[in-house]
Amino acid sequence: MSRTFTPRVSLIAMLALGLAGFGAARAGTLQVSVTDKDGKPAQDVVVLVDPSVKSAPKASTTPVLIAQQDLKFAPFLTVVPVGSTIRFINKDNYDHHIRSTPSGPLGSMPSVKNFELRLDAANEAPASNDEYKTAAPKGKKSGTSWQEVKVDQAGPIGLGCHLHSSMRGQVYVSGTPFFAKTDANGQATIEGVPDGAADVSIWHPDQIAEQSPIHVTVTPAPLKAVGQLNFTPPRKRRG
Amino acid sequence: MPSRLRHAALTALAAALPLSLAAPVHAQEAPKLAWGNGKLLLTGGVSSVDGAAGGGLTPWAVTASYATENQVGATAHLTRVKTQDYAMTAYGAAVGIGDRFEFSIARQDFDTGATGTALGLPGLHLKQDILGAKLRVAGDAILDSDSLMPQIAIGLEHKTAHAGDLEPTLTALGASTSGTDVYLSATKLFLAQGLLLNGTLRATKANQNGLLGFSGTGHTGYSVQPEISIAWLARKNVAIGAEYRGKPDNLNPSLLGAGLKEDDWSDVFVAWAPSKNLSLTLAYVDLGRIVPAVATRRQTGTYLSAQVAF
Amino acid sequence: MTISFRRIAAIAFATLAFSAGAIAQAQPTTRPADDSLYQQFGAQPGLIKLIDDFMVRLLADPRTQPFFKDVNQAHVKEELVVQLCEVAGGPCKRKGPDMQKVHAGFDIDRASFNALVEVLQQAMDAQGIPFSAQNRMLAQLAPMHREIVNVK
Repeated sequence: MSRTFTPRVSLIAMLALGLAGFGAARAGTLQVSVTDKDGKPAQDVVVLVDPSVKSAPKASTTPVLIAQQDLKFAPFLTVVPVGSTIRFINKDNYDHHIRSTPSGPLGSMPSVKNFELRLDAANEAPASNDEYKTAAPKGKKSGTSWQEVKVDQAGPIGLGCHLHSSMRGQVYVSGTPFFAKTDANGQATIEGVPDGAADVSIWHPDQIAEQSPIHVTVTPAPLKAVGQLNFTPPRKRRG
Repeated sequence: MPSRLRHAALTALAAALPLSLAAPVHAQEAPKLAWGNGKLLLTGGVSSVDGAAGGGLTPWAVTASYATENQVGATAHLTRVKTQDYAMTAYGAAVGIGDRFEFSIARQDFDTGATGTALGLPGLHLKQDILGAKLRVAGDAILDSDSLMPQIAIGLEHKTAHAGDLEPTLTALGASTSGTDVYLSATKLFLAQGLLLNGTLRATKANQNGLLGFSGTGHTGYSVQPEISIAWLARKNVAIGAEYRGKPDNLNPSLLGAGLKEDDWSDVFVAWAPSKNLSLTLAYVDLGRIVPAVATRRQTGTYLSAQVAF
Repeated sequence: MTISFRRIAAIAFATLAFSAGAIAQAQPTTRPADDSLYQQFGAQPGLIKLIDDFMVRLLADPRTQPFFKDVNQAHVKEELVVQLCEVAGGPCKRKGPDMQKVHAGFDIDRASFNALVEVLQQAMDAQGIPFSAQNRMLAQLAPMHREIVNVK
């Protein structure tokens, strides 16, 4: 049986062209570079990309881990999409009492999720943390060294420990599927951003005033965007 | 940017504006020197008779004032010594920087009393100006209570003697009118026992600490003298102790035979610091023989010193 | 330098004194052999009273207040009681984070450390603890400056 090839060729050609164009129109890689007010690379800056074509963030299928180790939250900053589950694991040999706190240096940004988790020491000891033979047993053991929290609203969540006041961490729940945090060089890379106009917002845990958004136009070619914080974060001891 | 965040941020900004003082931040810029008195009580020593911080007669490895790391402090002192045949007034000031450097300046005014008259120079005062510098090179005298390591410092004292009408005599004796002492000190407070020990080795050419010039005919080189202090903290603000200071004997023999023989110095003392601003030291001193050609007995008597610290 | 009896006596005395000190300190500060120091501090009730008063003074002294105003006071006091009990030869063993980690979140200079020592001395004075016992306790705690002071 013979088919006339020409209409199929044109159809195939159209489809091929369309597919090629379709694929190229989706992909855009955005490399964001953030410095502080003094021009130094800014680490642990939350980068959120809001394209004109909105899409819902996809929650991760596995819990995102935040460990408590050596009196620190590891990592210090965690950015997760809305709907994710965060698992807090205590890896220290002593109890931690994790709780959500407001964010910002003035504590003015309320947490989008409130929780308090008592997490036992990683190496379970049946008695209380410190051996004091003449003392009455004190402190409550929760019986677990990890617990999970589901975050269903976008925004910041400060992290603290009721027992160890120097422990500070930060969670940012993203309402957009396109997010990242800057590394030690102030760099963040976000892939798969739809072509077209987009707003890039940056947010630092120590900021007081909102940062100005960066307006970009995403294209198939990799795009670099540069942002600058409106303040210089203090060289904070994170332990 | 979520509108809730924008609202919260704007609220924060509005709240921040009336606050001229930012919330305390944990971080510090690069540490700058600031006037301070961070040392624990009595751990800056007292002012020695040459101006350096230490005991009354000998410099220690501690630095002057209560300034600790990143701090600057200063002291000023006035000292009066009276023995049977002589008296001396000494005064000066010192600056301590970062518990690392010390600079001091002192003047001694020695009244020769009847000895001056006997030498044909009634009313003779032997004076001396001393510029001191000290560098702490290692160790912590106070807090390293789990180690034998002392605090160690090196220092120098540049002395210029003003012997007045006695100068021609000193020249004839082969003595010069200026010299520099160089010393090495090791100091440790044995905290559990409340006992402080200091050992100093001083390379010097000084005659009677420099009041009778430096070197002498036949004794032109440096000699190394040992100096030892021991102090017991009876209370937080009271120390009781003793010192011993070896001295060269460069003007013996001399044109005056053994008439200018000199001895080692020693004392027993009590130091009281009612606050970090003031300390008083009272001592019984033995300055040995001073110009025994005229004043034959060993010179013993009282030493009283007041030091103010800023 | 004249070799005289006086000089020999002085040097011998000093050498003996240094040796005595050295022998006393022949080993690094470890757990005391008995609990005499712990008893001198009033055992557990005494230490609790001391640390309660100590915390009040830490919050009142402007040099130490910034470090303690935000801490969980009950937790810190508990840790201090156990720490002092342990180093004084008492029946305790502190199992919390080590000193360096606990203090790594703060900027602590030598002057601040000394200020805390002074406040502790005031608290011990107020509790009537003999000066010699105070010094024995301080001798156990002082080497911690190496882990706690983190700003030059």
